[in-house]
Amino acid sequence: MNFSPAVISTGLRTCASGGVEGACAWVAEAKSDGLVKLGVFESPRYGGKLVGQAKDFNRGKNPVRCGKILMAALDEALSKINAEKLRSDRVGVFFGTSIGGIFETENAIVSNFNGCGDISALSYYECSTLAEFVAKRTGASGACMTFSTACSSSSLAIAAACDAIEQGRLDAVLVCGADALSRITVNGFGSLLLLSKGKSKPFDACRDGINLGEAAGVMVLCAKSMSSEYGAKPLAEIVGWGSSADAYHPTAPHPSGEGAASAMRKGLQKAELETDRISLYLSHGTGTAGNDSAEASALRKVFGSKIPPFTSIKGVFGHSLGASGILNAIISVETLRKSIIPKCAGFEAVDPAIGLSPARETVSKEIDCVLTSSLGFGGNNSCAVISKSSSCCRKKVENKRLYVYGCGVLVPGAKFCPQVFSHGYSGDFDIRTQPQKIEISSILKDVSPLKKRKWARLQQIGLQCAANALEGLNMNCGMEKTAVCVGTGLGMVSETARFVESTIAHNEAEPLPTAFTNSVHNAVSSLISLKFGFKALNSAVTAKEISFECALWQAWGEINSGAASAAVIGSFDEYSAYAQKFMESKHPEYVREHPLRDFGAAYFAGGEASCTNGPLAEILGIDFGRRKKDVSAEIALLENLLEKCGVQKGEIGAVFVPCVLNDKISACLSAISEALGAAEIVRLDDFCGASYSASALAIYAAKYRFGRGCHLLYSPASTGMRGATVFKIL
Amino acid sequence: MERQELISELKTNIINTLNLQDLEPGVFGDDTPMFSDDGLGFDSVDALELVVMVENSYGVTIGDKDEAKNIFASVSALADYILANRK
Repeated sequence: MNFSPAVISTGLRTCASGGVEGACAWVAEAKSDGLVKLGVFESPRYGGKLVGQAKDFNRGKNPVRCGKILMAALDEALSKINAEKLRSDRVGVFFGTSIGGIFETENAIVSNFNGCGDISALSYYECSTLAEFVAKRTGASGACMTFSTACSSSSLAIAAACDAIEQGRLDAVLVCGADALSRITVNGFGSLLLLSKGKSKPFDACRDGINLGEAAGVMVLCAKSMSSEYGAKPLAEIVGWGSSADAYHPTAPHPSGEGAASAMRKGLQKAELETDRISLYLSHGTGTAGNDSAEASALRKVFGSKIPPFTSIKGVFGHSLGASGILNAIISVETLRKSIIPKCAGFEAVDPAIGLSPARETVSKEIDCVLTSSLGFGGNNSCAVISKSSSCCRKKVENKRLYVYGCGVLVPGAKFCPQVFSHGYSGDFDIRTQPQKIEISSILKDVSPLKKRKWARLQQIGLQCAANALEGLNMNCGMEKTAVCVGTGLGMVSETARFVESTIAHNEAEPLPTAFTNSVHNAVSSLISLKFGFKALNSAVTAKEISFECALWQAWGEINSGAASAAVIGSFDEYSAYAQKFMESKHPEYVREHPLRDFGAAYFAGGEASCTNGPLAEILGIDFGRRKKDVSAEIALLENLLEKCGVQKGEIGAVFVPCVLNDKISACLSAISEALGAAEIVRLDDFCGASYSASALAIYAAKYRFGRGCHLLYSPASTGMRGATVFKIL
Repeated sequence: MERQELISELKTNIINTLNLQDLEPGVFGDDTPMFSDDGLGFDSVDALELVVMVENSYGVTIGDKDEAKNIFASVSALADYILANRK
């Protein structure tokens, strides 16, 4: 068995017509005709800006524009393989997007989610909804998660998929990336003065910004030796991948390109390739002053004086944000197959400050390996090394042991203390009577107000939880090897609302750059890495009620691969009028009983040597999948998981559950708890209110309620998915 | 509007725009560098907030990032720019 991740099929939608082939032809010709005046919505301020508007996608049944574009790309990818074989628990869906289907919900946000009619479109506020749509459409019933780290989103999805395949966690992954044009991104990048006056000119002396673009890409990855099972031959192999964080600034890249260089080095190291084996570098190359010069510095750092031919495709398609990573990866595959080094569209004159020229003409040349990068907001970097064919045979990478060393939890109300979890607690803590919001002035007391003034509430909550989790720990792992993986259901919902409200109410006259930069899902994880200097993988992942488990799983994968030694892992969601209304529209009865509250929890976890303190818990196993209709099948699956974790049935102390949305789930839980011989079922939302992050409370709750012993965190998500985590309090 | 009057109004507007209510009044002088760490330590995103504020409150557009650096050197430099460019 060869666990090397192979690309077996691709699908694309961009501003070029005709899927992957069409896009590749446009790249070869460096054609920029797709950049046209913004026509997706009326924009008084930015109506004259040129954007790459997607073509050929209106057949899709998805209710939102981003989804329609994605479904068209998906259809193309599925048409090239035996798609029936994707109907399996061993096939996952990893999606990367910065804003998903939020465009259609912008008006709903402004009306406070009142009277906004179509609830089905409303659910696309959550960018994970599109991934669920892909999973349902294809029948892929393994892990389904959405990475949202701004411009590097789909690159993180690719890297996570490669890890999952190499570690035998999944046989195949449908990796997707998509972003559509919206008021948020057009006004947001406009407010940062980053939109080009004309067409973007990557690496050019006169470059003046980006053209936004829409794109969706789908890449089917599987373990190389399994490709024939899906009726396909490998088109290329991903032989290296790596991610890093600058830990430098909320939006600007580190000018020296150090973070980007570190990701590239990790990718090359993973691929076990010398730099001279790279025949093409397909850059992030957005055409902003800051990105291109930082990226050029990174190239010098990694390649010295022998910089390979490099190019950017942003002058053809515009910058498709969360989709740009997978777009780059798919075009990389095509350059290998067609043996071309494409001209850098838009480039004319060398910038003396950069001193490098990207490809000036498209050249036919046999090429072997392409290195491609994505560099996102928050200094979030990820790269992939893609090879036409390789003789490399990867063995399965086994799980390392994962210990939890520290934890930090924040819930509104002064009465919340560890003792509320103990049996026979006689205090009067009741989450329903607690305030909705955490008193922000009571946290991060040692940070000056001048410093804090730009951090949104959820960022402050996240930072305080992380600080609590790290307090008193003697970390042994080094900043370069510490990752930050954050789960969130709704992300920065109040900052997003603030930005959209101001944009619409003032007819685009008052853009709020700080609200925009704070509105990205990775605003919390970036701030944690910035504050503590953590420079390994920095991720924000969302999957509704199982977001925390996804973050935990991703961090564990990064530790298994050796790319990180430890990680801050957490999940954060905030109360806001918007979030409350939004949840009421979806689960009215549930939210009445369990009103929405601010909640955050963070843990510091890593391998045995990552911390000299004694661990408080060990994570034994995590499993994701679509819940079985038959309760006994669900129980059998959990028994199988326990066996893999080496835990006997009678050893399970409690079943922790983040929420119980209906009677059917309640009955299922009782059956599970009885079959596993658990002493009790602990509902976490009784302690933290309704929160997509509630499952992150389990380890903390178990520590204070039970002391030593094994427990199961069983999360029956509203999407029909299950997250099952077995852990042991030590 | 007199220059000094404009400077003091600008200070109020900057404090409100950038959420600086906790700033001690003495720290914010007419010539205090706004964007260097030995001054007020604003960053590039703050500058963009100020671009919007200046446009909406005074009808003066600042469209260029490099230009913005000099205009925002200090509150008095900003006042001079507004006085020179106001229609």
